Amino acid sequence: MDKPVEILKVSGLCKRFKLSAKQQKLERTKEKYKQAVKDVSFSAYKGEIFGLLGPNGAGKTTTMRTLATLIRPDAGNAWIDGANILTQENQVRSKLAFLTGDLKLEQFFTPNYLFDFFSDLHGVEPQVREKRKQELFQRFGIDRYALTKVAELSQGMRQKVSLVVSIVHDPDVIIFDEPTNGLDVITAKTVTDFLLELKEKGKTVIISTHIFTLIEKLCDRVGILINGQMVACDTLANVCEGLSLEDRFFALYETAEGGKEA
Amino acid sequence: MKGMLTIFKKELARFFGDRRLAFVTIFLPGILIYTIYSLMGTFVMSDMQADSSLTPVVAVSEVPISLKGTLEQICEILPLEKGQDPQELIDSQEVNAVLLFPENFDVLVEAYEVGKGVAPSVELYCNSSDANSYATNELLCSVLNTYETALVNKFDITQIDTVSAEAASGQFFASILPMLLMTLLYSSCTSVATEAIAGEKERGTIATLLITPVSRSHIALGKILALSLIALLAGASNALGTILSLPKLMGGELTGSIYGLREYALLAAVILSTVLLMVTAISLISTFAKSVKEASTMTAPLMVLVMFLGVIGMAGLGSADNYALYLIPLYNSSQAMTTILSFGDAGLPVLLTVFSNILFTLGGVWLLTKLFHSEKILFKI
Ligand SMILES: Nc1ncnc2c1ncn2[C@@H]1O[C@H](COP(=O)(O)OP(=O)(O)O)[C@@H](O)[C@H]1O
Ligand SMILES: [Mg+2]
Repeated sequence: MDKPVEILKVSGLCKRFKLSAKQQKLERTKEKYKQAVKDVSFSAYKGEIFGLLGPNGAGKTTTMRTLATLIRPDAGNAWIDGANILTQENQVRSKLAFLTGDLKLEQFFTPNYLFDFFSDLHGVEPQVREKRKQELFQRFGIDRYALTKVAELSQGMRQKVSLVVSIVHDPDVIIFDEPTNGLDVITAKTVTDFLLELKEKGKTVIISTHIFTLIEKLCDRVGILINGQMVACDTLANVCEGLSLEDRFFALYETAEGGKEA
Repeated sequence: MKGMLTIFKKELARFFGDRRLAFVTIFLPGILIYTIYSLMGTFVMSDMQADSSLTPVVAVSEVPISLKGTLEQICEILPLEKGQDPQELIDSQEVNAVLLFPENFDVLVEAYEVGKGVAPSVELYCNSSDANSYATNELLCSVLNTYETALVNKFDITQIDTVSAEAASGQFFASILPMLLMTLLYSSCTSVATEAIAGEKERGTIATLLITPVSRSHIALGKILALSLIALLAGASNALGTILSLPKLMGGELTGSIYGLREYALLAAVILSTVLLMVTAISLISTFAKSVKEASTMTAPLMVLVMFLGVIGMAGLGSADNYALYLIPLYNSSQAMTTILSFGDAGLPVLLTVFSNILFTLGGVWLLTKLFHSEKILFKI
């Protein structure tokens, strides 16, 4: 087997947030700061799906936003296909797509307009754009609704449109925060099938979720994030150590929580 | 650059593609203002229309022989009893006006030499809020004035000085328009800018923009330019509605045509730069808001400030002869407009105003770019 090509490298990522008074109350803490991500490191390789597994508030979204250059880490660094997230923001942005389960679109526009709009922003040539648009619209059954305003589309169709317009530039790395959140089973299946397709095409996909079965179904490797810390990170089989993912997760969770109290 | 243009076009497409939104923001305010002012004008006029078939009743004391005939032709004269209060008489609507001549008016007038001694005085009472009383007052005034002129024969009140009429109109516009324009422009800016910044945050679409390789300053600039263009159109529609309807409101004595190309060009320069500044300021504030609603609340104090500055302009307070004052944003705009509209020497003030506005706008765009970089602000939870 060929040596895997490292596409994403994350090293010692840290991020803390200043808590507002309201948040302090919400999280029942007197601490001024919340360390959302603590020294997180991992790598992802070409042609694989990497899963970030963790409960709510574990720091999954923060990690992903940092990789997508939406927020800057306090410490640590990351490279996407060699481009540094701190110093080469625009290269990073051209190489990746960042999607979230609740990604919203401007309701007023048609899928066709949005596709062209994002293509322009990503500097995609018109000929390339038209070809890609046709392909993707067909793949997701959007072609019939290409000229219908997003506001008039079903929730599932909207999610497909938002996925499609996020990858107009044919990125090599796709970061997807909670890919099946809020989707009906049919759309969820379309999305997960598509992620597997991307993997087949040699793309690198990073997903985050709290759903064990989703990781088991899709991911080659998994990182378990608890309280901002990566407590395990390896191939699915290695992480599980013979247990089911769920059992293994709760074992790790208890250790982490127990350690916190001590 | 290309990214900026794409953002610019998208904002315009968003706005003009929505016919209803475009109509409500741009045309409706102008049409409404025009209709309301015109109606108000017509209403005020018709309210003041006296009943012309009516012969006015006037209580007169010491009717002089010289005027008796004339007065009897135009009104019914009631002698004023000693001790009767003119005010009460008018309030009770028994008479439309009360005219008090001094005893021996004719003799006094005969004896009076212009510039020497005390001129005989005539007191005329009326209630100007009552149309009939007001009309009677006008009638009596004109009779008395004519008589006075005929006697002294020195005044020439029939001369109509067009320059002074223009100056008077100018004064009127100068006192009211800056305040109106500033307020109208501000509200147009608010409605478009809060939607395009806070709205995108609220809907979560701003993140999608920010992960494209378009620089944040270009995103900020593209938005601000598009929003300014829209706000400008809305402002122009408002201004047009106002200017066209003011003559109706004021009874046809005013017209915007007293101004020439120079005034309109200067005004346009001030308005354009002011809109840029306002849109930038509102966009900045909106960036801190989580929703459009919150943004409107947050920008309200600025509205109060704009109105306050407008009122200062109206009152003609501190109309700036110190040129440094023209560097203060918003204040400079309303002062510069006042200067232009009252035919003042507006060249340098306008230059300073535009310069200051553009400087502040650029500063604002820079700040907005910073804010677009700030996760604390964009992903506030
Ligand atoms: N912008 C922010 N300001 C303050 N706290 C934040 C912010 N974003 C996330 N957090 C906090 O950081 C922690 C991790 O959040 P997040 O990365 O969203 O977790 P996950 O996606 O795994 O649910 C949470 O406790 C959250 O409240
Ligand atoms: Mg999350």
